[in-house]
Amino acid sequence: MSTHPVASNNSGSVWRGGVSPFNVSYGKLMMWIFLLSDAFTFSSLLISYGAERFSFFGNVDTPWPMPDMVFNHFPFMHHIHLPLFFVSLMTFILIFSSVTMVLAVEAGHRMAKKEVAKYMLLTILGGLAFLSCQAWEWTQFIGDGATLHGNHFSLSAAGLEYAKTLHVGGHYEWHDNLRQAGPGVFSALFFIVTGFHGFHVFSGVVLNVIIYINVLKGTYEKRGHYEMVEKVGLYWHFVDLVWVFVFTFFYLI
Amino acid sequence: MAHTANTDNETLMYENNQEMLYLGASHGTKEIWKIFGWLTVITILDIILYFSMNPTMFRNIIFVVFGIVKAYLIVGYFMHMKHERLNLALSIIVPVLFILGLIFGLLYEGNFWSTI
Repeated sequence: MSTHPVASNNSGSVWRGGVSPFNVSYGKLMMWIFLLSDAFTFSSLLISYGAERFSFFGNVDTPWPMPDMVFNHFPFMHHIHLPLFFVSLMTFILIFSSVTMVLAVEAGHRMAKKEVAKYMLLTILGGLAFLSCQAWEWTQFIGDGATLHGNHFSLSAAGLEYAKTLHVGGHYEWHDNLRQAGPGVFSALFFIVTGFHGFHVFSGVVLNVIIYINVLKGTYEKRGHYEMVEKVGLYWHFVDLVWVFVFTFFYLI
Repeated sequence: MAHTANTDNETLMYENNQEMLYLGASHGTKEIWKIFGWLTVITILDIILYFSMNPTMFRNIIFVVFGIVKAYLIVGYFMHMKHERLNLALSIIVPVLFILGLIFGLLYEGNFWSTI
């Protein structure tokens, strides 16, 4: 027998080490701290978007582009004004993949290997569906002439009048006199923020695939617990959480 | 090699008994579907407000409040923060509040960039 019988009976002081003051494992705590630092990065990017947008407030020469006049595409619906529809679909895909992730974690608590595998696979498919949607969204955005340093999304006076006549589901056509060169920072921040978020989704899918393979191999069954599923789950939910704010600031407001 | 407070034995226990810290109990799937329902309802409300209200600052504030409610549901229930110890929750959530300072500072600052 050792001189120090159990970690929790450690002379009554957590300061001597050997116990977890947060009552979570090292890996989970570090995942939380990583996510905190990531939250700072994303909020800096989103706040820069807000500051840039405020700086264009009341600017008549180069008005800030109206989101519903830029992001109004939907697959197979050419030149039909459908603002917010596609991005809402992306939002529901990501929320649902968060649900399948949390179901995988729950199945892990019951040591139900088959269910964990099923829900992990659904989460991976949800992530891939989201990434495909984002690739399509970027294709439309780039096809409309957006680059990292410029775009053509500011509405002219005639364009503003035209925008008022557009209704959801109606046909639209952008003639040259309706749109003009917009703030380059609009498309730049769109690429950077959704790109950085999309890269997080991509990393999340890669991590999920690794965990999925380990689940199938029985690694966690042998280990006796499915905590790794919960750790990648934290990361995956964080990606969903960031999307909530990207959706709010880039598309709704 | 001199050892201080942590003996080799304690270090081993700390590194090997991590799974003891992992709570094995399942909370069931009922709560998960309930939270999913709320997230869906709030997102649908977002979409309804987007099409039915004029774009004003008031509407923007509603969208931000809805975003914070969704964040609370995701962090609290999906990420299990409500079931973690209070000191962990505070260690993660209190630093996030510093972001508020950056929001007010930069948005205020942004008003002046147009005049430069």
